[in-house]
Amino acid sequence: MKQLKPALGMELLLLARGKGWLLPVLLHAAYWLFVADRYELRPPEGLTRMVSYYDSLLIAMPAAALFCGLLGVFVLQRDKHNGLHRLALSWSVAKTPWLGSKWLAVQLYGLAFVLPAVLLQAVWFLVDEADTDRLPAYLCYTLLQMGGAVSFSGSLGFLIGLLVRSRLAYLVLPLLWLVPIYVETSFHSSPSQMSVFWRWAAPYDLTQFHYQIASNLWGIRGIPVTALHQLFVWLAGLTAGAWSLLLYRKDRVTPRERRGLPLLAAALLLPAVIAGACSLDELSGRLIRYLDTASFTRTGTSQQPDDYAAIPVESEFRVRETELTLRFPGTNELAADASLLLELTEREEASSVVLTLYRRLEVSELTADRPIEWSREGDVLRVKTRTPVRQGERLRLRLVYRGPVDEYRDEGLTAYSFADRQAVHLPKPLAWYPQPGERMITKTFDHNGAYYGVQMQPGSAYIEPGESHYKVRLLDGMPGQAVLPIPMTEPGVYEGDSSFGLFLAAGRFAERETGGVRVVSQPERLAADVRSVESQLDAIAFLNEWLGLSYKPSRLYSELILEGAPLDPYREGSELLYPFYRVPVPEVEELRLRVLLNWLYEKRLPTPRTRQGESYTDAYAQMLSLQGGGPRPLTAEEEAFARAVDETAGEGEDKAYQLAASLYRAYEEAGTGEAFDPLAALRRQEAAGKGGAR
Amino acid sequence: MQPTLVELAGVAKTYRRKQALHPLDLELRPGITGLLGPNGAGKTTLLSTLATVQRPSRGAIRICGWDTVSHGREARSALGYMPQRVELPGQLTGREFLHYAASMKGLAEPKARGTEVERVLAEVNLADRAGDRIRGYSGGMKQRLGIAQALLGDPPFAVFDEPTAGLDPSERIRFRNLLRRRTADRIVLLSTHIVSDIEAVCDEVVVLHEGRLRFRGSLEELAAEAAGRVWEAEVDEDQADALYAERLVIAGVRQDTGMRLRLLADDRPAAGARTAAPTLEDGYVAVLKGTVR
Repeated sequence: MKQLKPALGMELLLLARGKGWLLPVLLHAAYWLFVADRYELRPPEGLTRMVSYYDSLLIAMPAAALFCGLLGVFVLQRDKHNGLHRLALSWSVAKTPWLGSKWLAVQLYGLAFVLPAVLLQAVWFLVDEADTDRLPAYLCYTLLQMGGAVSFSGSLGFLIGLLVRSRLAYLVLPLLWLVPIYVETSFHSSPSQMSVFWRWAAPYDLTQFHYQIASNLWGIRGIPVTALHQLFVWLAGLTAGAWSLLLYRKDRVTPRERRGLPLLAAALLLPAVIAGACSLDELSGRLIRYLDTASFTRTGTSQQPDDYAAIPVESEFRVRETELTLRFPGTNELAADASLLLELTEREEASSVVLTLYRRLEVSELTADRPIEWSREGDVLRVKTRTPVRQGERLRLRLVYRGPVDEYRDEGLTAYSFADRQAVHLPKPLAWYPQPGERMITKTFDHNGAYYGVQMQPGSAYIEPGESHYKVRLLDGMPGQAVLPIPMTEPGVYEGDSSFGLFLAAGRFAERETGGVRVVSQPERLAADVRSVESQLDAIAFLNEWLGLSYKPSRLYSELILEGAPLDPYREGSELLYPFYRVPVPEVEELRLRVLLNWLYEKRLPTPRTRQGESYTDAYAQMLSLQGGGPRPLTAEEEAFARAVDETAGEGEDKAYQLAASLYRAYEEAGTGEAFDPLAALRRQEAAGKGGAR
Repeated sequence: MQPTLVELAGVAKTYRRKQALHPLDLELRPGITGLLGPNGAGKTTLLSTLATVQRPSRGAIRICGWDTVSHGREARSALGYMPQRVELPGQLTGREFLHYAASMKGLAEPKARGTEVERVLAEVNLADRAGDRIRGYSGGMKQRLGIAQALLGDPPFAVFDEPTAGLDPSERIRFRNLLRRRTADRIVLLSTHIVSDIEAVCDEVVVLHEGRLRFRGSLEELAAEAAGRVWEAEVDEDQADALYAERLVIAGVRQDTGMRLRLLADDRPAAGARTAAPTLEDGYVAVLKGTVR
């Protein structure tokens, strides 16, 4: 083993002086500087540093792994092709230090990629104070992911370089390398079961996400699962290295190697197999859960919404009050007591109440203030009263239930709902509390009538039958701040009315109130979100004043849960909206008036794409050209209208806004939609104005 | 009688179906032994096997008493080998490469290694260029560096495979002088098809042909293989053409009025031909051809 050090020194010297191998390392370091610089100069809309970093890691990590793998092939093939191999075989060096030095050199080369990436992350994330608390975990994650990837890839290249004696070895490794790249970037919106396996077989953990490692809201989830996967990857890499030693020139074995190498290869193989089996089992569990959900959805529901549109819930009862007491006894485990006060509103009398509750939550007790019988089929609970309930009468139900709440999408790759020490996410469509009516919690897709894999969407949007009063008690401490659509009244108690329903989220959130609305976001994005919400509030106030609208701001602005939001949230009112919406001007079918409203709206609240100083005529001509068929000359009527608008605007912007508002009112009153003639309306108003003046 | 240091007993090598080396018994004694043979004779196979780069398919090799299979490491520590084709890493300096090779040959102690490296550098006359990168070396310097690594540790047995191939005459002379300086108790096996190299430095010669041992003896004995069968004749060009077609012509020199040929034949090949003293090359050709026409 005394020969390992000089042999390693020589390999590193050769690497350092071989400019071809240094270049990727330098380019990689430059890439990270570029990523950080680009972000700081012009932060992408809606992306935190963390998301930006990990998006870039998805490019850098496979590239680094490829170079390490190729180097693994190269260090063996080089000596074979230049004849040094024959020379070395005549030296008294044993094969372990000889090959081991090459393997170690490849591993150190991998570190030359990993360390700059981790170092930059540390420095860059420290700039953002909000991220410092999670920094150690994220640094570990990067180290595990990238370190495992480059280590395994280097070892694999080494083994390939040994087994494939021709230059074909240089082709084999990139072909294998392409597989995880392909499955990750495959066009299909959801991966197939086979690609799920290939994701598992990748040298970095792709089983915890689809396309994006980190999200703004939840950061990186499942780090322990990734650690297990990467432990397997590291062990597999070490095993490949040990087997390379064992297989290389079996005749060139010293007595010590004869005893030690088989032991080493076997000793590494065993934990690698165990770690691999555990990791695969964990992924299989998620996949099986997902497939189970999908199969249930296909066969277990009767009401299948056809599209993404929100649909109203059909229920004969209105839930007047919902009181929930929640505990989280274990990871992804919910235990709840629920008390529902229902009122029959839609019929004269009824003796059956239908509720939806997530099928894995087992109801151990269901009682009422009158004799009942109940049954359950999947997500649907049917409660039958022995005596009918009359219209206006109330029925109180009490449920005790408990069960797992983790649901998965994308063939088990992404967690849709979860409750652990890092975060809680219980969206309304999961039906984690009893909800009135029969609902389809998840949905499968078909294509031309054929079942389209097991693709699912997050949850169909249901509009509640009416407003309810909710009271939620959280008996266990939450991981970070808990967020519900209703406000907190005392620590651990949330109470209020909502027509949206309930979701429960907890994690690394911060909340601020502005203009009477709540804004909930990640701490580092809160200020930006508040600014965005304030501009929405300004826009609403402006539109209401300008056009006489009655737009209402939402009560809560967050990226958290949006399923079920009305299609026209400002007109119809909504409890929950994204913070970075741009409030639109009301929809107008007639083109000239639509362009006029938008043109003026953008003058008042410009976007980055707004062209300053553009006349209405130009804006209208531009819109015409965008409508297909390319630019065309304005008709006489269009030109007359455009000229009138521009002349009015020339007299003063206020006049233009007044003109647009009056035309919009005329449009609304006419109710003729596309047939509305703004020029005629304008002339009528001018005539009326002159008449009035006379 | 000198002790035998390298011994081959029934050594054979087969590559799939091709028998590259037929069972061979050979003893190498201290001194320089030349290995002669045409291309494909099995010289490189024999040398690779001796250098432990590959295992013999049959038979056994002992170097200084160590079996190359069961005690490979000990056998290799007594061995210096310079393969036929090796491209030394151009990024390194000559000195760095020799330090590396010395480490791999078991010279662990830095001071002793440094002394040994400088010794062999001086021996191959590369000391003044040892700090230069190998990529800047001429072909001859690279060959000398290859030789130097084989001499590291002053091994009792050194194997050189075509060491003078591609060298200019002055480099070849330098190499010959280097070999001559080897002490008398060392064994050197020198493979070449340049007969003059053998003549210049070897004490003994081995001829391989088609994987078989055809001759083993002193230079004089090899030359004597052609005794009485070497002829020189001065002929015109038409006769020369006929002799080239019908007889074994070893050499031919063009003259003003025709050609002077050197032939190997059991009987007088042409009128006026006279016998000549055999050289090593004549003996080598005689051994290769076996029966002479």
